[in-house]
Amino acid sequence: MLIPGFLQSEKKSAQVAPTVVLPRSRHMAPRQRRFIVILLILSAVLMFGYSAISLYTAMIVESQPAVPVTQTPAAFGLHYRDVTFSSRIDHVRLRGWFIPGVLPNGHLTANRTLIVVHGTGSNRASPLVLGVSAALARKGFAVLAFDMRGMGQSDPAPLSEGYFEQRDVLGAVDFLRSGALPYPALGRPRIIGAWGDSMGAATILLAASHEPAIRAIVSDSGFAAIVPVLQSDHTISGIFLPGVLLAVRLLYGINYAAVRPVDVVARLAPRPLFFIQGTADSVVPPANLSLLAKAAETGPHAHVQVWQVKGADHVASFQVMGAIYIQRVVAFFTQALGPDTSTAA
Amino acid sequence: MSQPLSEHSIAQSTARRYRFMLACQHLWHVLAIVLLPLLLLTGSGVGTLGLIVLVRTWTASDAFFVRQMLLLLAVTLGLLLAVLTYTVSIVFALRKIRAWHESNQAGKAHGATWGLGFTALMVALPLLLALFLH
Repeated sequence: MLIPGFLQSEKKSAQVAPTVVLPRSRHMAPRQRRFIVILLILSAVLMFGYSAISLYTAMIVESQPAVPVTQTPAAFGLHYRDVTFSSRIDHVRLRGWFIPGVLPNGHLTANRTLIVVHGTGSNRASPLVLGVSAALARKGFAVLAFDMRGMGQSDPAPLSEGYFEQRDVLGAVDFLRSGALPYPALGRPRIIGAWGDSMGAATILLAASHEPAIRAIVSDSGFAAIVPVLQSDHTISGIFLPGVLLAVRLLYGINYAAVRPVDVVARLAPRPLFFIQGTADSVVPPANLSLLAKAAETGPHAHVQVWQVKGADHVASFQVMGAIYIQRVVAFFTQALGPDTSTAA
Repeated sequence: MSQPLSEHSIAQSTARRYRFMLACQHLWHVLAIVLLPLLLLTGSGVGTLGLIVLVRTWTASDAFFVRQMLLLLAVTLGLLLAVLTYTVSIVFALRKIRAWHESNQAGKAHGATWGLGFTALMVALPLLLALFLH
C-alpha cells in the first residue's frame, strides 16, 4: 500500500529532516536578534514619528487662525458697503467690501472694477491691501476687496495657497457680473481687472486662466510655483515637506504640486500682465518674477510688464515706493482697461 | 520495458518529495511570520485612508472645524491602530522565532530574523526616500 509506505518514509525523513544546527548560529542568534529588534524599534519609531509629525504639521498649517478685520475704507474717507458672496463650485461664504471708485468730479463709479486679493495670513484690512484699495478707489477704480476662505471674516477653510482659493476669485467675478451689487445706481462693471499680492497674486493668475472676464492683472510678489517656495521658506522642515504635502493631500484633497501659476500665465495672453516684486524678497525668491514673466511672454501677443523694486522685501514694494507704486499701477490699469465711461461721470 | 522500481528507490523519491514539501512549508512559515507585520501595517494604513475618505465625504458640508476635529480623530485612531498591530505582530514574530530556535529549527529562525530586518527596512523606506528626495 502506498499510504503506509508514505507514512513510513515520512517517519524516516522526519528523522533525517531535522535542521542541522551549527554551533556558531546558536551563539550568533541572540546578537542577531537584538540587532534586528533594535532595527525594528528604530524604524517603527522613526516612521510613526514622521507620520505623526507630518499629519500634525499639515493640520496646523491648514488651520491658521483668521486675522481679524480691524479697519475699514471709512478710515480713508471712502464710501463702501459690506458684501457677501459665494465662491464658485464649492460655495464657501466670503465677505468683503465694495468700494466705488471716485471720479475727479467727485462722482462714484463702478465702471472699471478691480478685484483686490490679499495673501496668506492676511485679509482685506491689511495696511497694504486697504492702502492699495483706497488709493485705486481715489483714482476712479471701484474695488471689490474680500477675505479669502479661512481668512478675515470669510468662512473657515483650509489654506491651500491658491488651489481652492482660485474659486473665491471666480466667485468674486460671478458676484460682479450677476450678484446683488450694493450700489445699483452705478450699474454693473464694464470691465474687470485684478490686483493681488503674494498668494493673492498667484491665485488671481490661476483663476484668470479659467475666467476671461479678468481683463488685466497686477501681480505683486506672486510665486511661480508654491512647492519651491515652501522648500526655500523653511516654515516646514525640508525632510518633513514630502510627508506634510502628502498629508495635506490625503486630509484635505489639496495638491500643492498643482499650484503652479507659471504653467498657466502664457494662456492669459493677450491680456496685459504687470509683475512687481522686490529684489530683497525674503519669502518668495525674486527669481519667481523672471520665471513668471518669461513664461507669460511665450503667449501669443503677450503684454507683459515687469518692475523689480530695488531693496524691497516681500510685498513691501508699495511701502517702499509709495505714490510711484500707485502711479504705475494706475497707469497700467488705465491703459489695459481704458478710461472710465460711466454716465455717472 | 522499464524495470519495476524497487521499494528502496520509491522510499527515497518519496522522502525527497517530502523534504521538498517540508522545505516549502518552512519557507511559507517564515514568509508568513516575516510578512505579517508588513501586511497588518499596510492593512491598517489602507483602513485609515478609507476612514479619512469617509470622514471627508460625510463632512463635506459641515463646518471646517467639525471636519478638522473628525479628521484628527480618524488620523489618531489610524496611527494608534497601526502602532498596535505592528507591535503585536512583531512580538508574535519574535516569540515564534525564539520557539523555532529553542526547538532546534535554526534555519527557520535565522531566515525569519533576517526577514524581520527586511521588514524594518521596508517600514523605514518612505522616511529614507523623504530624506534623499527632499
